[in-house]
Amino acid sequence: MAVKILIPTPLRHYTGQKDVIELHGSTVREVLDQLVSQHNDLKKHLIGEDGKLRNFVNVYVNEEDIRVLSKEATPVKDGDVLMIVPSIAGGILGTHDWIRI
Amino acid sequence: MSQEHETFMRNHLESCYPEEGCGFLIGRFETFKHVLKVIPVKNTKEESRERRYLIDPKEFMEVEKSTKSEKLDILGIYHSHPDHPASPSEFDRGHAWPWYSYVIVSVEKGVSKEVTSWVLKEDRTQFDREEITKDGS
Repeated sequence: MAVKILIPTPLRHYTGQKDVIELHGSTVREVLDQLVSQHNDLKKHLIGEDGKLRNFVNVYVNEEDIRVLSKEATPVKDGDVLMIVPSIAGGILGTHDWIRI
Repeated sequence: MSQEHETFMRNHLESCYPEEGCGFLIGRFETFKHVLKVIPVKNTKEESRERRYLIDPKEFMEVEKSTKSEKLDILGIYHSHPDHPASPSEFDRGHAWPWYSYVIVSVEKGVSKEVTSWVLKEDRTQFDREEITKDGS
């Protein structure tokens, strides 16, 4: 038994196209750390420079948002399902801050 | 993308003006992304909707589940820039996910104009512009 992580489409490129990965860990953070240690290129998309989960990354344990549980310290057990759900946001800031392309 | 899908997307974004509108582009990825469905969604940002959009993660989960059951994928997201160019902003970049196509439509005074599509670079520093081709062309 292990914890299952469901990988959304934009991240499957980093997991060899796997949409489900099974890992072990006792908290959400432990499982995510294991995920990014196995698939290092995922790290920059999930973890910010401050070492915390990026704020546009939502994680659900058995369809419950970890923000209403114990955040990254939320305990997990064998058989739990973790979902990484992209927070989709954007828009205009102002006319002066278009990025160079 | 078909002309029909583009027209549907433009009409939706014009109807949201002066606020930003948004939605999903659904389809299949083979050698390129082929859009087969356009799903408009609610901009759930509570304030400043004329310059921000946010898609409810629960809505994302529902759309992801239904597309998976149809053996399709979410290929990208479209949104409007009311009275601003169809270029990604720093805010767009900061919140972007890899692989997804970010289609931006400029809506000037309620009328949709330029449509562009962008993909985040691997190092997250910039976007690369993508070509949008019409089905049958």
